[in-house]
Amino acid sequence: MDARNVRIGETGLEQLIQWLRQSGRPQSLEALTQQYLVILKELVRVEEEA
Amino acid sequence: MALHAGATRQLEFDGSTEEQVLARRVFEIMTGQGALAARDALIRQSLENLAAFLAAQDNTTPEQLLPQLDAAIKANPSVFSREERDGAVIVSTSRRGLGTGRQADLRHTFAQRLYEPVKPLPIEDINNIVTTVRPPLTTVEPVQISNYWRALAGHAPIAPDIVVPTAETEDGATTTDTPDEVAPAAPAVEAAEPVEVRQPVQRPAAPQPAAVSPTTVMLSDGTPVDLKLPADQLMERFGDALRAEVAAAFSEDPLRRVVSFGSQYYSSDALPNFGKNDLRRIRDYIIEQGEPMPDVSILSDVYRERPGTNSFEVFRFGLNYRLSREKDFEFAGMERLNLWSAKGLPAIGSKRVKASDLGQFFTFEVEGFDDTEPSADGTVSHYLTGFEWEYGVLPLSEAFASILPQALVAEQRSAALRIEAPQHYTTYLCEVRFPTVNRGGWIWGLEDFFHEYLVPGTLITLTSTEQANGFTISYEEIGGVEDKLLHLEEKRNRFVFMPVTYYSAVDEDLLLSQRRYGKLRNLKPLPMNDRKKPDVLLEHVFEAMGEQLGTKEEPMYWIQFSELHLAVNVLRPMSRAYLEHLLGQDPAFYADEATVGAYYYKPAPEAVEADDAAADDEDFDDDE
Repeated sequence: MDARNVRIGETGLEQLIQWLRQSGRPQSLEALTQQYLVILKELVRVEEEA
Repeated sequence: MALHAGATRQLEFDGSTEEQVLARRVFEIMTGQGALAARDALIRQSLENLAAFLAAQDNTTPEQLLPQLDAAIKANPSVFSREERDGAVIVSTSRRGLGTGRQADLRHTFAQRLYEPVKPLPIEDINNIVTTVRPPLTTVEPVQISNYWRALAGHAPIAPDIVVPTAETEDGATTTDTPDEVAPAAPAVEAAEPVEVRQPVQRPAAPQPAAVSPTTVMLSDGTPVDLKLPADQLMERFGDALRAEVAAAFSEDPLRRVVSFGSQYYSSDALPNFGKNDLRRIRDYIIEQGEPMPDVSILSDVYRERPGTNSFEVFRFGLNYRLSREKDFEFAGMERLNLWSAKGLPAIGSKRVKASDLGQFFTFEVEGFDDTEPSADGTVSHYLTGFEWEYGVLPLSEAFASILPQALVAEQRSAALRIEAPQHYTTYLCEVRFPTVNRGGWIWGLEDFFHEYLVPGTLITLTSTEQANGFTISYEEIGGVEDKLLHLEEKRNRFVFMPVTYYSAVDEDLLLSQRRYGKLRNLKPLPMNDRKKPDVLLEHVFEAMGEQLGTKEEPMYWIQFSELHLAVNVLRPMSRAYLEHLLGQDPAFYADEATVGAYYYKPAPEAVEADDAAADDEDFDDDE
């Protein structure tokens, strides 16, 4: 994905919620933000490789 | 001519007389069959069925009737439509007598109206024209702007599956660029609209720097964040903004898929359910315990949920989240310790003074007149004033606030503390009341401790412990000292000096003793409302404690600032900075230039009455 198409707070939010649910326990905002960065990095990288 | 009920048109059938009769009979049969159909809905029947039905009525065979029937249908093409399917002939008509069905009116659809208003407003920024529709799956579709708005803004229309937030502006882009999938009737409507009259505002394209790398995302405030950087570096540089973005995304999610309590977040649909019966049990448990209880205790005692089990943290989060939404429960906890108070629990703190009064007394803390410094070592020492000793309160000054817990959740009113006095092996349940925008904060619940062991002027030391809500309070003990100290006689509503033996080290300047400050007896325990009025309070303290240097007609009072501060703090809490501020505001009070730290008060002249003169005689002096 082109990073210009990424909208912070919207793009990848579904994956973040999925991750939170799968983690099985409440998470801090810090942990959620770090994971969100991981998701965004993956999204951008996937598009670059394609 | 007989018409079927519902028919509104007098039908004339063509053909021979026999064919006309047959056609009318067919029409009546078919409209009778579709009596509940819409007037313009097509009613279909096979020619074979019609022939069989009519033949049974006419006592003939379908084979004989079929050619005549077909001829009658063919003779009336405006009433009947005829089509052949797989060798069978299908006859169609409608209740209004037409062989054609309703045509879909696509001239003005609801979907079209949503995207193409009758009177569109001029567009100043295409970024404002963004729908709030969220895709069910996260796709490469960050900006959903219809081509209609794009055309108005002078942007090139785009295919629906390729959505680019900042399409390049094309000169002269008009509505003729609308894609092919637009309904056929749409151009007619567009042509009727004043679209061309409202020339789109030709603004430069959104500030999309050409040098931005394809791995750079933009935050809401326009800050570019290059995702190529390591996560640690990103968190260090943009951590606050990113956290705010994530928190805002969850709070603005219309489906509320993620909920939060304190600094924790979890999926809302995975939370345990707590019903009314659960809430009643929890409330009964807290009331039975007699004080705010931690969430862990509630879970273990009421639900037998033990820490360490797989579901414990989720259960705990669910409990806290649920209780936070119930008005019968109040959060009284802090970081690392979630305490819950319930409606019906005895109030912590003195009943002799209202919380609303204290909040107003301590307003000077939030108005910038706090003259303390934050503590760096978790320990705060503080001299007790007369008011603090009387009601068992301490100010939530910067010093105390630096060692006390902070509010964890929004609009948290208080937090429960356990203050231990190791010198006496006693523990006191106290409460810190957090300040609001225009009310100060305080700590209360130490009334018994102060009255039993301390006197005003004692230096107390509050120290934090490893427990989140645990503190110790200590003071320097001495051998017993007998003295006459100021005491509030509540039944007679006056201050008197009473003999007291105390065992705490005090600052003699702050001790409310008769030998040092005999005039304190002149103070009146003003109603709380009067104590909130600085001018009333200061005038009273000047008159009660100051030296009268004027005449009865033109009185003038003189007092040392330290003495004034001490006496004021018998009636209400007030910092030195706030007192200096008040003295500087009213021209009736002014500094004695000859004596450092002394002030005059010269009231506005007024007629002296006999009663006032008599009252003045009752004042006591230091020498008594």
